[in-house]
Amino acid sequence: MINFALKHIYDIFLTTKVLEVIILDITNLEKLAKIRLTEEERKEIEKDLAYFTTMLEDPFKADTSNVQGTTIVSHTENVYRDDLVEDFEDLLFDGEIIVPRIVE
Amino acid sequence: MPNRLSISECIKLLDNREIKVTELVNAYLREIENRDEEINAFITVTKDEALEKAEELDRKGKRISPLSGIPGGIKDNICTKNINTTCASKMLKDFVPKYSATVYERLLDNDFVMLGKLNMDEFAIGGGGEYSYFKPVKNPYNISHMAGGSSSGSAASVAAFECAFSLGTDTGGSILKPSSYCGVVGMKPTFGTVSRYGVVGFAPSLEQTGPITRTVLDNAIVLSKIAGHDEKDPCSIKRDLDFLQDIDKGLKGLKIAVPKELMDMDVIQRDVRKCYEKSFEIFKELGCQVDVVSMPSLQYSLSAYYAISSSESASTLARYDGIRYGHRTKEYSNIEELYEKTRGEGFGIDVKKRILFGTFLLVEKEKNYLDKARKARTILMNEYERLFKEYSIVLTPASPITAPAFGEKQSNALEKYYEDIFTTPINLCGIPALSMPVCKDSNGLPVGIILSARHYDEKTLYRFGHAFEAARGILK
Repeated sequence: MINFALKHIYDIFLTTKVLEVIILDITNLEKLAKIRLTEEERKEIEKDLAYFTTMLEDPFKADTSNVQGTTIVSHTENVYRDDLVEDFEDLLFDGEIIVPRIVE
Repeated sequence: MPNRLSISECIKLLDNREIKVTELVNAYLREIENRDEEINAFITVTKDEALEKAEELDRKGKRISPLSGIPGGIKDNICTKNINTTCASKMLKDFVPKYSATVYERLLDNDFVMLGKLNMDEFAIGGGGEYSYFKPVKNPYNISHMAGGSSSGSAASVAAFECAFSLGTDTGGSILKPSSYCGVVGMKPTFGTVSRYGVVGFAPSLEQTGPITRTVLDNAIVLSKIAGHDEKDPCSIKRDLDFLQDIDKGLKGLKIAVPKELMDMDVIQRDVRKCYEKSFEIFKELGCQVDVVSMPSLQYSLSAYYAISSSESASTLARYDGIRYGHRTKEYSNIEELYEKTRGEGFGIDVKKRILFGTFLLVEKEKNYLDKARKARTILMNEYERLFKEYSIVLTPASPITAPAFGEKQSNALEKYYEDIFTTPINLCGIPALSMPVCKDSNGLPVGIILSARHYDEKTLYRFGHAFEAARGILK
């Protein structure tokens, strides 16, 4: 496997507060993202997110004063399309469309 | 065996009526039948439709495009009307789109023959090809090794002669890396060159669709037919691009930049470094000047990429909630539980990781990592822009390693992401890049390089790639 000379940096980061925040917040993140994890998944994701956060400090080394952030690299042009009305005859009741119930 | 021929060779035979489309399509279908059980490149094979189309084209006789009668495969996150589009996820395993992506329609307009939908990492998140809900994609050069991802089936199918070409999508190296692992040619075009309408994405500011082929010329032929403005895609560019115009011009006097910071990295495997350096020699023999230059901003690219792509994925993948389409959990007592259980059951572990990481970044306000990442992106773009004023291309390895074996242990989660260190700057900047094979490592696995150029300069990449391929030969 890759021999990472930078590995010692991870160990330094693992003692930082950033890691603590992630570990404390994982249950809240599940709620916010509306994803229910199994206990096994929670352990794996907790560990991996801690590593991910160690990377986040890198851009802080850059001098970003007077730099505007890039959200997209090309121009964007809003696209407007007419609504596509599909066949809804079987949903009509007394002149109104009855929307099927999703959650019982 | 006609399925071993390049697209340009097939075009000649079809034009001269020395081969029928049905013979060509049958050769590919036989290869799929014989080989795909071990490679797992396909999720859906559209055999009956392919044969029907081939017979129709033979009856018609007239070829309307270079791609007429050429068999290809489509990554399974590209919508194909009435054909399953699963994104290799349990979430969409039974999803059949009501409309087709523009890029697929363009191929149909050119009379290509659709062989089927190609396996991938779930929702295009992943770099190895092992995170498909259905089955992992194996490397045709050695099936105990990964094909690379996320366009794993797209690269493996072309390398295994199961397709003449394929379409992949690339958000952080998803065309470039698997192409390198499988020894084929992959193009990530300039952002906005190929329509993304109908392509299921996860990070809209980074994604592009592009072709994977066995030769550089074939790649340029396919891109020529799928590129172009599409009013349905808000990011689609209005430009006339001729990708073939400079392909035979040679390279005398052109300048290549080699980033010093990447050369200095000790994460590059010895065989990869050797092949990378061999490519300098080949380019020099072709008349190029190869200079080592400093690109200090490259150090920010990986973190900026993961911050931006994860945040976008948290937002983009929020639509999969079990209400309108896709998987829905069986038992729930209220709407919140329906969402949480559906998403918990429907997504795989890597997708969940990315969504949760993105959610953290979107709610974190104290340090505002996302804002910092976007600024680092600007700095990186400026650096590339400065460099391209003097140099025609930037040359890097495609990956620090060759295709890893399945089950190879990584000491931590970051090692896997470091494989993307050469590809992520390309997506952040939206520039075009070509991945192509150079040689094999001591285990017989392909080693690739990436050539990147300024925006809209795919033609220069094809020029370099074509000359390099002619000098080095096609990897076998």
